[in-house]
Amino acid sequence: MRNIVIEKIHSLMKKNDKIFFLTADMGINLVEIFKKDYPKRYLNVGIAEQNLISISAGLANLGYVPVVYTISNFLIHRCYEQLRNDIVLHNYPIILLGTSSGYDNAPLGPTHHVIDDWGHLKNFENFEIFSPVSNHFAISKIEEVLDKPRPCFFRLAKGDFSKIEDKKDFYITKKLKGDETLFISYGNLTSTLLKLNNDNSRNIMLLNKIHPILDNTEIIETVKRFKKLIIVEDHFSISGIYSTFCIMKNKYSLKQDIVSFSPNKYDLKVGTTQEFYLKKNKLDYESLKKLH
Amino acid sequence: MLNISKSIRLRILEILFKSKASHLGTSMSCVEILISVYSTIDCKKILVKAEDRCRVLVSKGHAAASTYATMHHFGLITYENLKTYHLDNSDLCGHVSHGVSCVEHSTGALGHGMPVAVGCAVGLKAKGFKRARSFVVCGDGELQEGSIWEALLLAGHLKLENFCLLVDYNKISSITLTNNVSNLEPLKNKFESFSCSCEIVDGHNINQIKNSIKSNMFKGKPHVIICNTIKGKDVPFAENQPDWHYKTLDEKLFIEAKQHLNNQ
Repeated sequence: MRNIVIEKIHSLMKKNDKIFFLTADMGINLVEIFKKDYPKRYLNVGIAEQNLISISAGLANLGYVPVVYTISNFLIHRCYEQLRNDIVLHNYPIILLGTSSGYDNAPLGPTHHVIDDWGHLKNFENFEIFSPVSNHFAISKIEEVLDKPRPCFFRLAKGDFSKIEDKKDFYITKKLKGDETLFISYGNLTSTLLKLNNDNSRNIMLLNKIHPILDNTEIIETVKRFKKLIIVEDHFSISGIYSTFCIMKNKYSLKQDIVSFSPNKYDLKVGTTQEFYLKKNKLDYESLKKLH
Repeated sequence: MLNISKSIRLRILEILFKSKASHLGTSMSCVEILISVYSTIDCKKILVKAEDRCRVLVSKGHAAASTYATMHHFGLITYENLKTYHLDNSDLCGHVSHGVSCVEHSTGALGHGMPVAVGCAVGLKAKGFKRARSFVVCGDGELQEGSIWEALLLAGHLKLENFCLLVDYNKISSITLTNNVSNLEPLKNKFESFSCSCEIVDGHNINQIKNSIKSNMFKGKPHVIICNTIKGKDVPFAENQPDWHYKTLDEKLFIEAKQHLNNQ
């Protein structure tokens, strides 16, 4: 997904001279095309993420739309005050592209496990957050936000996102049974959830857009058809979509039981694959298929 | 020019007294720095928000009273608006805010205005505005923020000759002497080692500051002006007193301060 998003942005820079691409020295064999083709609208700020965001604010002051790329573990936490004061407070358009989400960087340790990132951004008014489950959605949404710039974060996961062709904010399995349980997830867990529904026996909702969704009437009406919601995410539930659905339940007097499966602490043990951590947190296929 | 300083200081006293607001010391130390910047640039372009205007950012956002009083002097804020400083429902809050027309960027958390101003300099250059410059005013205590040096390192590397940093070097940070907390010296050497040109001037001498701006910009590297100043300048009971970062004026002290200025 990362590569196709980058290619899309590069192709749009030709006709849209407001796009300014920035990186904090990340994206080897990926971002060089921006420097080569648009040297005046490309900047590598170095390993300096606070700078990355504040400089983007300065560029937004000049009318540019900064597209900001680095790995997610450096993009949100390190720059939280810069995002709040320099971007959100000014309602500057900025497009944050964060890669290596969830346990994508499994063996690199807890500093590189991105399981508590986007929830922080929920505090910011006017910030949209996407964790695409579909390549088609990702490139379509990138085109849209560059056409109508606004503050947003794309949490780009590793994996196969070619199976879903919908460009809507969420995808649902075609034959929703509407009586028992609905699994809800996003981003990295897409393949696992799709596998879970291989025999078309499960009801699955996969979110391309994860914030704001609280008042999305289509989502509310869909979840109302089920008795139980199982929220599955590679992010702390207290600030993930679990919390959003709990607030939704309270706000709209929903009757559904809501159950959460997510990591709830940092993990110091080495796992060489994402699966290692998914299994520990009961987010893997074998654990999820036992649920009803 | 001295009358401008006096006039602005009187305005600062007036709005600080009326609103019972703090930050007198820092407001008085940077008056001549702000006058020098605003009198160097074309304020009409700021007023009409011309794309190729010079950008002025006051990174030490707690100098809001000083910033707004100076902007008023240069026709960027009306007196009616200035009088509302720090009062209910005003746009003029106690830290510099872009809610006020002609203010480029909200500041208050230190270490932000500097990198944003570097971004403005990059943007001005990318857009080909060859005469437009990006100015930022920082406090000396603010230089203890790491983001300042991140931004300066890049500004030097990019040879941003349209960028100018003015340091209000009043030697007092928040509760004590800046260099007793984390020594900045040798400060000029530090800036030069970051690939910037640097001059030390009397921060209350407008001619010296303006000359440094005019003769060092567009010379192939960013320019830094270390302005030696006095915190609480021209308010005798507040000069060099750290607690006047926080204290407010009562009527007796307000009259005393005004009389001192008027007798100058």
